[in-house]
Amino acid sequence: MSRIPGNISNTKTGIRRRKHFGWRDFDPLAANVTAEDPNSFLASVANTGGNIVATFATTCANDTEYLEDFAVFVIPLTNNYGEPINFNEPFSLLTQIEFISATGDHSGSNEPELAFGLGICENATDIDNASTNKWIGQGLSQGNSTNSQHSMLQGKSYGGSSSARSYTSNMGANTGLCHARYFVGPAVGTDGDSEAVGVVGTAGDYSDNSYAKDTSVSYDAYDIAQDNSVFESDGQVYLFAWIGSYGNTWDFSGGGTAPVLTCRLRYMVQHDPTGWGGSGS
Amino acid sequence: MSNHSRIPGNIALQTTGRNSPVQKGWRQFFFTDPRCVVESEGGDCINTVVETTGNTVITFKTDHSGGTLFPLDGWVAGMPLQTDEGNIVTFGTPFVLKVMVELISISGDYDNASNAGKSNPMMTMGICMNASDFDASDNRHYGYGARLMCENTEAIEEDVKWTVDHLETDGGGLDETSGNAFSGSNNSKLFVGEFHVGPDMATAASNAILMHNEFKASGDDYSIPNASLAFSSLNANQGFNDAATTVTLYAAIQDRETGSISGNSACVVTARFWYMVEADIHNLWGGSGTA
Repeated sequence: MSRIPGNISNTKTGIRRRKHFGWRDFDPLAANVTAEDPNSFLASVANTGGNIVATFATTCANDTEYLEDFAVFVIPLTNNYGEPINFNEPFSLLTQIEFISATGDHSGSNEPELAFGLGICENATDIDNASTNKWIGQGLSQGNSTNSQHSMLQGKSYGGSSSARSYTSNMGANTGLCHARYFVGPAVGTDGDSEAVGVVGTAGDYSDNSYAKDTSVSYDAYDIAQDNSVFESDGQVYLFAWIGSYGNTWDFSGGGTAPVLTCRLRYMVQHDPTGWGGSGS
Repeated sequence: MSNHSRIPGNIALQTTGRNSPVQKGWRQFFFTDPRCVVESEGGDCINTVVETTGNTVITFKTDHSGGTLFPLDGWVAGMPLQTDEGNIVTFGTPFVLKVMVELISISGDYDNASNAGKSNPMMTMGICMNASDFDASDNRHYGYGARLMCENTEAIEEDVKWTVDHLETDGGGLDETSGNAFSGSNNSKLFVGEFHVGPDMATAASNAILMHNEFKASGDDYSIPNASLAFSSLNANQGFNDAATTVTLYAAIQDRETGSISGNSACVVTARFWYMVEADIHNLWGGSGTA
C-alpha cells in the first residue's frame, strides 16, 4: 500500500464487503420481489415489523395441495456479499419457517388450511408452470388450529412437466418452528442428474420451550429422483415464499371470516461463486 | 467531523466495526493448519501427512499391527469451526456446513479385503464435541467420507463406498455405517455432504442430520454412479447435546486393514478436503413464535 499522492493505493482488489450476516428475513414486499397469485389465495400481504401478515381471500375456488399453485413471492438468491447464486455453483441453504398466529376461520371443512414456506426454483416468474419451471420447497401446514398443530409440507417438480408433494401427519402441539436444509448439485443444470437435489425438514417448539423437537416425525426427507425434474438451468437460483391453503375451497361472502396468518420466513446461505472445483486431479 | 483522525496521538477510530471477512465460499481443510489439534496416535498406521503442494498426501506405514474400522482412531486433525470472519461457532449457533472430500490418486500396495496384508484407506470430514481427544468413546461426532475399495493397481475411485462415522447407538464407543460398493469403474471422486444440527440441544432423536451423495469429477460432468441421495440422523445417545460447546471440524484418515502388514510398498493417497460454512452468531436461532 502507498498513500503518496498519485500512487495506486491498493495493489489487490481484495474481497467484496459483506452485505448480510447469518439469517435474512424474507420480505414479500421488497423491491426486488416478483409476486404472483394466479389462483387468488390472498387478499393482501403486509410486512409488519418483520412479520409477514397475509390476509386470505374472501373466496377461493381452487382446491390444490401443491405449493407452486399458492401465492408466491420470488427473489433472486444472492450470497452474503450480494453476488448472484447460480445453479452451477456450490451453495448451502438453511430456511426457518415460523408460525406466529392466525385469526379468522381456518383448518375446518370449507376453510383454508394455512400453508406457508420457502423453496428454490429456476423460473423468475410463472412459478406454477410445471413445464418450464423446476423447484423444490418445504414448509408448514396447520392441520389443527386448536393446538397449533402443523404438518410439514414439501413440494417439487416431478415427471418433467408435473409436480408432487409430501405431507407428514399432524405433529404435536406448538410445532410452529420448522427448519429445512437443501442439497443442490453439483449434478444440476447442464450436468443434471437425478438424486442431486433434496431437502430435509424438522420441526418443533419455540425458543421458550428450548426448541423441543417434535419426535413424531424424525425428519422429513424429500429428493428429486428423476433426471427430467432436476434443475435444468446453470443460471440464477430463485428463492420463493409460498402462502396458500393445503386443499379446500371456501366462500366467506355469506358468513365467516377470512383468516389472517402471521409468520416469519428466514434463510441463511453460503456460496462460492468460483464454482465447485472437483477436478479429481 | 470525521470519525477518522490521522493526527498523532488521537484515537483513530471511534467504533469497533465488524471483523473483515477472511474467508469466502470453499475453504480447504489442511491437517497441517496451525489452528488444528492433531491426534495421530503415534502414527499407528500412517507415516506422514504432507500438504506442501496444496493437496493432502497421506503415506501409510509399510509395517503395522493393524488399524480399525473407525476414522477417529486414525490420524485426526480438528479445529474450531469458524465463520467467514473467524468467529467461533458453537452447537447452539445456527449454521450451514457443506463438506467435500475429493479423491485424487493412490499408489503403492493397497487392497479392499481384510487380512490381505495391504493398506485399506478411509477418510472422512465431520464435526465433534471433543476438541482434542477425538477417539474418546464418548466423543459425540458425525463424519462422512470415502472408504476406498480399490485393489492392486485399480484407480482410487474403483468400487468406492461412502462411509458415515458416529458413536454407537447406545453412545458407548465408535461406530460407522458404509454404503454399498459402486459397481464398475470410473466411480465417484467427490463426496459431498450437508450437515444439519439443532436447534434442540436436549438431544431429541434426529437433532443432527446428514445428507450426502457422491459424484464423479468435473471432467465427467459430476454424474452420479450411486442410486440415491442419502439421509441419516443421530439418535439421542449420539446427537450433540451442549449448545455452549464449540463445534470442532475434523478430518480423519484411517487404515481399515485390521490385520498386520509388513514389507509393503507404502500406500500413498492424495486427496483434498473442502468445507464452507455460514452461521448467525449474533441472533442465534430466534424463533420466539411471537410477533
